[in-house]
Amino acid sequence: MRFVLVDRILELDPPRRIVTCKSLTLAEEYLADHFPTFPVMPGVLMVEAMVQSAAWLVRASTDFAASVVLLSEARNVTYKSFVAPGHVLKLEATARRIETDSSEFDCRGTCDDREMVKARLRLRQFNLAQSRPALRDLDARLIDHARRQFAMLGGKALLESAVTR
Amino acid sequence: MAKTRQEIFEQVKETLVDALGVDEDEVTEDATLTSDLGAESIDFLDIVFRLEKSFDIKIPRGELFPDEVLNNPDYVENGRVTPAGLAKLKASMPHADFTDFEKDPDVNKMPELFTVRTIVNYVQSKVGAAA
Repeated sequence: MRFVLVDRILELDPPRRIVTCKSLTLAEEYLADHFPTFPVMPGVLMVEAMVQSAAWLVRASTDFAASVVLLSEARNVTYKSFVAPGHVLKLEATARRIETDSSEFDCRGTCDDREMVKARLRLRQFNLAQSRPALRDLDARLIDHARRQFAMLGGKALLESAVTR
Repeated sequence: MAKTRQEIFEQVKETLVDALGVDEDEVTEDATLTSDLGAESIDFLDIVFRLEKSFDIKIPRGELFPDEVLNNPDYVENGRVTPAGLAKLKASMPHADFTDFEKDPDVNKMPELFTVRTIVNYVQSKVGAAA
């Protein structure tokens, strides 16, 4: 499976806030087992969608300074309800702080305005070259890939339209 | 030496605090694993594993949390558990209370069957307890 759990960036206000969406389709392989008679989005993937949304806010706010953005802590994760195929999970991440090597967010996922999940997430950011200088080129390729994906998700257009306003 | 029900409850409480990252005082007998304690499907696997280690028991697949109801189309139709499914659930979970669920066997509500009491009852049946 391609581990991309953000389909589109809907709103972007760096460094404060991002809104993205993930549509759930019956075609996603993991739904076949979760569960055969009752397909619903696994809770951990709802958290991953929030992590990826927050990560895009980090990248947009730091001009893609770090090649790697990872979840370091998920706290107070609360699940309210199940997301079924045919629905869109809307993800909002509001930054509490974004620093060079770590950041913290309040995140929630809603479906038709009903809250499905929320959590406080801490992310960490770094470049591989920090511990292994020989990997500088890999960092550059990862950052380039992230920029292209950001454009594909509509993030670049949102940033540009914000600037011209 | 047989454990009392209270001792089993305390040990189950510790297991759930470790598995779910909740505070001790949130773990009451009536607390549901999902709505009250925030468990989701991967946590159920973790809980089974930790209970096995903590109580030195073996929990066969589907014995504590019966997953066949979610896997077999005879047991769920149009988002509701069928009578066959309900019978299967009751047979597999003598340790659970079905009074509320029976009134509205919505599969979305099935997770509410799993309370802390359900687990304590189950462990008690596996280890045997003094009164």
